[in-house]
Amino acid sequence: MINFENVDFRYDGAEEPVLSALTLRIPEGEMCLVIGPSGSGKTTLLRMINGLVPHFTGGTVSGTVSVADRSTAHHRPRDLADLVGFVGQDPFAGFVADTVEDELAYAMESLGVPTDIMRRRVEETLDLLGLTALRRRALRGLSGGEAQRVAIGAAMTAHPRVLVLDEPTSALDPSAAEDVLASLQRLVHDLGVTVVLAEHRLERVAQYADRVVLVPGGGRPVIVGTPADVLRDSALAPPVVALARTAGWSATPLSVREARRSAPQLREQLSGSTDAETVATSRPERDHSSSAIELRDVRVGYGRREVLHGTSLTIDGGQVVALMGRNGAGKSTLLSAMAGLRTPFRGRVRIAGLDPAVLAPHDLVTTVGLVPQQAADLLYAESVDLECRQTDRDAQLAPGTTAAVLARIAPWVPKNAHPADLSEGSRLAVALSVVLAPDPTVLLLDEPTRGLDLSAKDLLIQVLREAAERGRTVVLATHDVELVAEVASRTIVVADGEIVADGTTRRIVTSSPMFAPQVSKVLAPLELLTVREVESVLARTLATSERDGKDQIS
Amino acid sequence: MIRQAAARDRAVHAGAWWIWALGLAAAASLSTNWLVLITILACATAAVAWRAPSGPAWNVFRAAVVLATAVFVLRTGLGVMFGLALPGRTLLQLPELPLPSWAGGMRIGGTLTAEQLVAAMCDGLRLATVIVCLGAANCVASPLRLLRSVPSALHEVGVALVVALGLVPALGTDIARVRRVQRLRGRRTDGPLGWVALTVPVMEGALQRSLDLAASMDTRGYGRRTDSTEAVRRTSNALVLAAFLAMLVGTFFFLGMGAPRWAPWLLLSGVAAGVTGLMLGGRTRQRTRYRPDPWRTPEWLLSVTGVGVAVAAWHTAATSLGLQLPASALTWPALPPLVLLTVLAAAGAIALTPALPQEDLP
Repeated sequence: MINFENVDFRYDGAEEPVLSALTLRIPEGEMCLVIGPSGSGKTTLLRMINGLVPHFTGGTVSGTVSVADRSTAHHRPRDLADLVGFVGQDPFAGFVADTVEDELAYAMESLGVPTDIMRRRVEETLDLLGLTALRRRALRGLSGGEAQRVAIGAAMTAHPRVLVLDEPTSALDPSAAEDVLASLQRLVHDLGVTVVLAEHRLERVAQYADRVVLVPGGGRPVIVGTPADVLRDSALAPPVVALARTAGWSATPLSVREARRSAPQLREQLSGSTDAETVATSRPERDHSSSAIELRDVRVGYGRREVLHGTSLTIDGGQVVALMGRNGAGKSTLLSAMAGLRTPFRGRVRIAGLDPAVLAPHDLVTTVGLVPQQAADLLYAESVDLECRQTDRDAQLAPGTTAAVLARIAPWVPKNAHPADLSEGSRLAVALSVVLAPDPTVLLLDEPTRGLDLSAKDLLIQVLREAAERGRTVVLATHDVELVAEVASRTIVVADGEIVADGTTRRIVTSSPMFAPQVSKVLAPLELLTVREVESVLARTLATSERDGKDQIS
Repeated sequence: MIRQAAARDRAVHAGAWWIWALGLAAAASLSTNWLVLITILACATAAVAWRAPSGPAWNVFRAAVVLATAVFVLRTGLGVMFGLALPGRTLLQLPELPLPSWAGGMRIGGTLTAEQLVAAMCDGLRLATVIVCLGAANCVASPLRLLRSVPSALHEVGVALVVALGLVPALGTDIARVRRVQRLRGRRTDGPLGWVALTVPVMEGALQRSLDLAASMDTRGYGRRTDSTEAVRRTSNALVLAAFLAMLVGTFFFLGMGAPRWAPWLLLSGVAAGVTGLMLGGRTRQRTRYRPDPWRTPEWLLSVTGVGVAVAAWHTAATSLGLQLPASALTWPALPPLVLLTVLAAAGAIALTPALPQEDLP
């Protein structure tokens, strides 16, 4: 269906090719998952399928890319519109119309589908994706998950034979992501649509894929194979695969179900030593008596609409706290109130005893730092390097501080690139170092793992842990349960502007299947959250059994 | 073809609303009789009160009312300061600035009579009424919806306009968001430096948004053409261009140079060439419409009554002085019955349009 034949691609002015000698054949009716490190060229590969690269981006292509024997060299995206449906990273950026129904019909209108067929297909799509209740809603008012489903629907109505999706679940809460993946699954199985998707959240998608394409980046050759084969030895592996490696299973499980089947022995091995004490010591609860963040009956919102209805919250210094909850629950609003970006209608916000809304800009950066969801908003210099130097000057830091932070958390980011040209993950890394450099007392992160591959995520986790060690407080709003399981000691669940649950991460996360990380699902009822914890418990068991062995000998 | 139940709640064709409102505006522009103007003003406001969709549309009307008030005040002020002296009851004795004799009847300041004030206010009201009529049209039928009904040969131009119009409010929200966020970088967001730092991300955002939109539209088949011949496309383009030229020249001579006999013919042939060109051009696209707005009885009622008001006003202005402010400005003006009748019919037409469907708001 999709054919890449000996394809090289290089952006204008770039020294390194993004893709080189790429030969890839994706047969009809397959669900193909494209993975790879941040900025490795996954998005470029996807956009080549319908000719957006190079027709919209420029650059030099050699070799041929063709879909159903139509070469993208001679067909512009519009000429492939009946064949390829494309859903970009940000659904809002791709919306053309203003209401859900018009958006769904747009592609069909352009293709000249007769009106009665158009009406029927819109109805079918509304049903298929569960959008019936939203049909007359304005697109601007949709939550992230709803918008993503509408974007997929809009690409589907024209009945393309290929559907290309760039990170369709990265902005979604776990249940919305399940919905989207289930509808994609249905398209592949019932209608024989070929689906190509790029995704960093392997734990969500690996089990659905028929084939995995690993794009290593830097122009190195891609690796193609079944999910189990590719993921077995890859550094990018979902927690179940990492768990299988740790436990030494021969088969590579891709889903929680498969892993649970291999797990009984491991569970037994762990249950002997997994008492509350061992687990607790592997994740120390720090007790800093000073409260870093204090919210007292805060009501805040946009215009006249109140989003948070009287939130009271105290967070101690040196903690890493996760805010979870579905799209549009009020997590971002809570963070912006903490950062003093929104003055509450009522109530009091204190960060380290100060009101962030009235702090002078210079004092603000050392008190509280926020990486917003649209990280690019923070950046305005011509290049990454200038951005770093500007930060040093603004926050009166020693020259080179910010650049050093960036080199630490994202060594792969090119220094002289324009921030707008970076991949989503790299831009986030730059914004993060800009905020981290002045070392604020309270660090707030809104969806910090969007577009980050697993190894970049590991680096981020390390950085956040270190910040907490130094007594800094970190609050992150995220849908990424694996990240929460790794770093957060406390988890707060927000729903409809209210705090519905608040407690230790272990308690909150294991008490609901939606928020549970893969490892805990595999090992339930044991309350272990991450592969790291399993490793440390195993190591301890080993040490204990060795000691026991020695005792017996002596 | 499936016949839909006619009584269903639906949005009325945007074109009908615009014809209706333009008719009212045309009538208002012919009149300085404040009683006529207020009747028209009430009629336009009724349309907004009964048939405006909820949400941002209201802001459009509010902005129009603010603008109209400002224009009214400004025009009245100018009339008081610079207006011709009308004999009558003296209200105020303003200091007068002596002007050289070549200024003719012009004067600055001087005696202000009640008659002069009323005349100035009526002229201000006329402008304000026209603005409110257009604001009402904008509010009940956004120009975006109007553009959905443009002929398909003009579709590309229409979409370009829609996109441009859509970017303006987006820019506003962008500025607010980026300003808030930039405080986090420890920068001052006020002062000239703050604005400079603001422009880069905002303009970049706007540019990125347009590029994204263009890519998205292209991806979904925007601008696809059928395999029509190059000749057809060229002919269509040439015809439209010729039509524009013919209409331009025709209008110029028709209005200006004492209307030579061939001017109306040139104008007519221009229109014919334009229609042919657009029809030919439309054939090269294969667009269809999802739920095109139908043109049924309510649309006919609106457009006929709207044009009716304009015609009645034009007829009254041509045959009598009914639309003018009475010679003695302080007396109660008469309301010409023909104008009153048509404005009432226009207001009645609103009531006969179907109600808007209820928005499924969260």
